[in-house]
Amino acid sequence: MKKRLFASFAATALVVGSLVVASAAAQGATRTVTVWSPYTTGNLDMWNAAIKRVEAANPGLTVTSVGSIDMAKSLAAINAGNGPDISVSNGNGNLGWFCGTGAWQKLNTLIAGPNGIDMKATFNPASVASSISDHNRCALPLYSEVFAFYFNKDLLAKAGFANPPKTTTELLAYSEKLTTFNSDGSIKSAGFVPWAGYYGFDMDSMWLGQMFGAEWYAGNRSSAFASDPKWTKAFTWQHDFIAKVFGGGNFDKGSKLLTKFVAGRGGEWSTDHDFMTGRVAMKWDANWMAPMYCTGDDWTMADKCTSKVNFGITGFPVSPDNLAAYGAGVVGQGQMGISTGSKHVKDAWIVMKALATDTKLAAAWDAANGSPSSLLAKAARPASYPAWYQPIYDVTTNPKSAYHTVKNTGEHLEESMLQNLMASWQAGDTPNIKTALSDLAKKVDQIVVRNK
Amino acid sequence: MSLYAPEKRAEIDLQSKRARRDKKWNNFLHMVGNHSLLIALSTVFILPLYLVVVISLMSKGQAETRSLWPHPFVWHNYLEVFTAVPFLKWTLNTLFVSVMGTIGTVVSSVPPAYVLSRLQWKGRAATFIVILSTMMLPGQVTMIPVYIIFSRLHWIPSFLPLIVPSFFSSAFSIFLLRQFFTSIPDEISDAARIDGCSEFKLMMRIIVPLAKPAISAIALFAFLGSWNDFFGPLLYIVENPNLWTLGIGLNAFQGIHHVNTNMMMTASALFMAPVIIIFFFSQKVFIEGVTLTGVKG
Amino acid sequence: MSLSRLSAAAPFSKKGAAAPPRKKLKVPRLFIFLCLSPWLFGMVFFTAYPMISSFYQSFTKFNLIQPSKWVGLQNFHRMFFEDDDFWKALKNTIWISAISIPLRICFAIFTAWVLTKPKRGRNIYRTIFFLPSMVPAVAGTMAFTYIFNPAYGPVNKMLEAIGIKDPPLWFMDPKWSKWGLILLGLWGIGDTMIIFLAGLLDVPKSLYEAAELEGASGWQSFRYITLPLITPVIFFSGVTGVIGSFQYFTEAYVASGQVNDYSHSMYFYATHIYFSAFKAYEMGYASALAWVLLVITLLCTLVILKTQKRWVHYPNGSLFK
Repeated sequence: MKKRLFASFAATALVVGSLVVASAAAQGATRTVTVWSPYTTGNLDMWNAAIKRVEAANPGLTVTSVGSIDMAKSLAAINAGNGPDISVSNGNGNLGWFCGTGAWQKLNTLIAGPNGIDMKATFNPASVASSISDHNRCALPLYSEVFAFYFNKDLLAKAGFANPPKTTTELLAYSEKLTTFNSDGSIKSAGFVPWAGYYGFDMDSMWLGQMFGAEWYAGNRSSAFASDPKWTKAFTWQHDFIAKVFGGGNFDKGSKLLTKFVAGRGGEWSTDHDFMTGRVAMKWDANWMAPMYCTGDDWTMADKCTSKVNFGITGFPVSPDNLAAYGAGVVGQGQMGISTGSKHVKDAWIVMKALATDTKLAAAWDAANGSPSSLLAKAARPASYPAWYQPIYDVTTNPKSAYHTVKNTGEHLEESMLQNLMASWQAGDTPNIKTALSDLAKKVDQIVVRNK
Repeated sequence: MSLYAPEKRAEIDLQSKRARRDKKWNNFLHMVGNHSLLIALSTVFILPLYLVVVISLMSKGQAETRSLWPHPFVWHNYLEVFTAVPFLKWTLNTLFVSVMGTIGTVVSSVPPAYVLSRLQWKGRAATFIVILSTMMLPGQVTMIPVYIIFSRLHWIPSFLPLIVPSFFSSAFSIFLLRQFFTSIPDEISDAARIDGCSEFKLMMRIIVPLAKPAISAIALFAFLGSWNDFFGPLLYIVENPNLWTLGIGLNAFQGIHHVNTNMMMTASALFMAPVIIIFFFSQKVFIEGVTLTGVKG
Repeated sequence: MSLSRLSAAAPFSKKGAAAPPRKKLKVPRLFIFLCLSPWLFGMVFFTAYPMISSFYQSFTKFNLIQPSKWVGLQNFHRMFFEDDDFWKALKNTIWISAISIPLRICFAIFTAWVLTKPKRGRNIYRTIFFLPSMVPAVAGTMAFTYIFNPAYGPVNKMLEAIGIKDPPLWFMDPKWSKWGLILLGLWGIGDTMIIFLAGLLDVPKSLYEAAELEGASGWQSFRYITLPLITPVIFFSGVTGVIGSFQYFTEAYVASGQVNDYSHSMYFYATHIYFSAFKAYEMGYASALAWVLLVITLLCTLVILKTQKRWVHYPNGSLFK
């Protein structure tokens, strides 16, 4: 009786075992590549259409596309061991992290290989620069996210300004004129708000640094927060700005008033956004906010703007000693990479390369989302796009536009630490900006060393 | 024959009348004082809830003007919240997790509590102390390896990590039930055993029905704990928006496009409502349950 | 044994009664084991194993993708010497524990005491006081951050109406945000208040009457009768308060998300563990943090336990019967 039990158990195990092996082999044998993206609805349709084109061009290759999965989820799945072959990130702030931890594989060999890509000849300079971390290329760029300077033409004209401010000095002067106060002393409307946490997607400190041309890493090696004097310059400028424009010369007063002003800001994604109601006249902002400012609906790109705010877009104002950089902004990339542990690396590369160089996708995407393509090809520009949006493209192609150097600092820790420093500084809690910056530099270096 | 002369008696009567009147007046003052204090405190406690409800009925414009009464009453907000965000789905998810968690907790906590209180066996005291000490353990110490276990099982994201552990007893529920079980007279068990009743039957048919108040209490606490839980869902279901519970959804509110900020108050009100309603209908159970934690042993 | 002694109508006392010694009752071992098995299984897989595993992990560097790497005491060195956020989180946690635990106990005693006064309507008031502690933490926190918003929240408007000219910015101001959290905690005092209410009601009325006869003032009878007799409740609240406040997470997390808490004024120990483990995926470091938390909590609890003999009066002699 026992013998029979054992025999039947062994037989079942054998059958099950061989089935498992067979299916695993089968999986490896068929050429399937999984792609996870954060896209939904219209964007997902365009994405899937591009994927179909890849399949058509490569018979025998099947691509499974799943949408609505952002990089945080993909990363969690990769960490858990059941990630996709290809995943898409909407920004490149975390490239250093994905690359350094191995979540995305190094592509250097594939890029240089027989089926490779000439990065410089295919993509625009900002894209080439921001898909590399510590000499390792772990991603291919898809489209750009562009951060530029928005200004309210009507409010500026009323104050006597025909053109937007070109330098930080002008920016301060303009703001002094444009800022108004209520009878109780509180701020009624602001010219410009250099404040961490106003509406900045936590990037205010990044933009502040960009205006002054401040470097994040010296020669790509160690943190430049302390060694590059432009950071101190930038923060000192912010300090003076708050004191002069909002506090009548008194920094503490300005800081307190501004804190209250920011607390009362209108909703970020609604038509009572401060920029739309005129509560603020000029601000740093992202390309994806433009459609909302134009028509109040952030999903469509209209030819003519219908909302109350008559706005213009231009490059960031720059520090007077950095005039050559005028016209540039911060440009980051949507990117994709091949996960560690992927069993179909060669096929994933084929898919990824095709998607990154697909001009049809780039043009369609651009037209729908206004995300300038990373491709140099003219065919990647949409057939027509509204004139009021043209400045976004100018910023993208400006050779000085870029994202800062990325290293493996965990989840873009150096960005958040800098942002925290700016917040503490603007609240008056940091007595000495120089020592604070040097502490910050030390910390960032520690993190980079630790994550090697 | 009284000790006192009539005039003296009259004086004493007058004095005691005055004393009684004074005492009554005193008592009255005390009562007014107490009630004023109680009303003041009640106002403080109710105020936030009042504001939530009141702001939830305001138009978007009025909601940001610090007003204290809606002009007009925008009842529509309560409908709009269901279309602006997947509120119904969040509610159903939360309900599902809470109900399953409650069932798990009750089913798995009654038997251990029973054997810890109605039976004598070696190691009983030690086991009880171990259970007590796990109640004092900070969750963080076990949280990460547990997360890794669930991750290797591919249960993330899903409801399983939120529901399955409740089927493996809650130390708090065992503790509370045990306190109650020990108060049931032994004679009842003894009599049943003499009658030849199996231990299992004794537990299920006799003791458990007698412990309805305590079981209701732990069921309620389990349901509430699950309904209000934020950290568990944050860890285990946040990656899949289809599985979001009300807490996660509400927290993510501000980042959702095209949603008015005053709707946050509408959503909060709806999130709080079931708890408040359940509480009103089962106050006694709650309060007795809390006191059952037996501070005095 | 006489069946006639069975009295099913006997009221159950809420105080636990130790079982009288049994004579020769066969212990149903299998039944006991089966009944305990869910707890046992949970104990092994969700408590014991994870504790050992996380202890081991605190000496490793592990990000879930790459294999775990032994790094010895590096995590602890980093924690104490390189991690500013750790010290910030620890400071915040100690600060809020030191302030809110005594405050909550006092407020709980006060509200419970007020509840013992009325003869009629006590239940209504009790319900009102208890209600906020039932509300989901996320909803309560969102409500508080909204109504305490300095620009459009009604609270500051009311403060200005009663004459406070420049009310604080509450959650928007790093110097006030923790006070906002403390107020939120006091609002939910109900669950602590209830056990104090039970404790207060347990004090025999005769003691008060005797004191009144001897001319004791209200304060004196509180100080010398009530207070000593509720010390067991204070002890219990103190211990659970310490354990709970070191794990304080949800309200702080939700509130900081609402206001962009760049200065980490609402960044607590549990927040730091959460971010290290589930945002930065540094499992080894987070485990080290968790074990340090355990040690700190144990120390605090031990201190309270050791001193209990001196200030806690048990009517029946001791805590364990």
